[in-house]
Amino acid sequence: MKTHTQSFATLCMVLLSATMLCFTTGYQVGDEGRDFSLKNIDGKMLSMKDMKDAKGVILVFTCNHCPFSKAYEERIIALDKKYAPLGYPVIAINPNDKTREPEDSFENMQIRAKEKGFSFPYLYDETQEIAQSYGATRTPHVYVLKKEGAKFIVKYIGAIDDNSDEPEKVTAKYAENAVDALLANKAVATPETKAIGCGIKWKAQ
Amino acid sequence: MMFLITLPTYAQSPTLKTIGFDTFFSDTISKSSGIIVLNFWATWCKPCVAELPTFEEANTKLKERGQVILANLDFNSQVDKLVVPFLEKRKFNSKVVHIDSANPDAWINKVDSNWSGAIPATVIYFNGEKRFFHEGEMTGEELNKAIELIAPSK
Repeated sequence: MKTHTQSFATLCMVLLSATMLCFTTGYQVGDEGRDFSLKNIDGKMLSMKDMKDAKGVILVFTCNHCPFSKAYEERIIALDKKYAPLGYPVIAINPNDKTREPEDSFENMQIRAKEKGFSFPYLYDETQEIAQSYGATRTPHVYVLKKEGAKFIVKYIGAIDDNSDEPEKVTAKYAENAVDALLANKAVATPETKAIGCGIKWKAQ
Repeated sequence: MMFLITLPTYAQSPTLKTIGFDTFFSDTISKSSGIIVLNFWATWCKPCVAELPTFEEANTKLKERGQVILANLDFNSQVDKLVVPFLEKRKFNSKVVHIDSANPDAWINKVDSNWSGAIPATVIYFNGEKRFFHEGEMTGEELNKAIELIAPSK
């Protein structure tokens, strides 16, 4: 994180006259989300374009060790089961550096996915390039993308819902509401939310 | 009387009250004078726990210039089970509060619009006004530098 913050600060200093740039790292709603080719827990490489029949993708940056990620596992499975048949499958990506958090290694991803019965792909962003391009900072961090032609456009960025700890007390299902709106060809009412989460474990320099 | 004076004083009460950020801000931060270093942390966050001694040290160094407040963000349901025993073991001198973990989208931007919600995160207020924000870990040197820029020690 330190390296990330420092290079970011340097960028800000270099671009003092264009301060806006300091606040636009990562994607904003409306941007095109880049595709990727990352290793899935089954050992095969996967890209968004491989989801042939998809109308979009629910991209979730998550990991094994983080209590917030664990608290949301059941809800991420439920999202996939509900929305994959409607054209919005979940793709989960673990961006954490395994040196800083050994529990987030590829082998442990395979174990965790099996234990919890993940119905969706769980990819390893070993270089952290995808998390950095998207501007993900914490786990879980959700990006809902809609397929427009061959492009995937970011339509929602943020939390899954408004209560990580107690699912029965959730009052706003942000991610579901976003996908429902997209399926109905409507604008997403709340396109961006924030949540407390585990900071992504960036590689040390 | 002597007996009373020699009674040990506990820096940390054995229970921890949960408070919403808005109430905490209006009751404590906005009325404060001098420096408040507010550090967001949780028992499950390894980098947060690792840097707590840095903040304890800063609290000691601040003396009359102000104080450090450790804002805990563990799940509401786990305060008694995880946070209270942790505090009993560590016996921090800094003040500790537990911030209500429900509906974080409602208050994260009030802390700082650049905060993504990842922890650790640190804010420094001077006379109730925000003067510094940092998302991510801080070394003792970085924290000192930030404090000195706002309120230099004599």
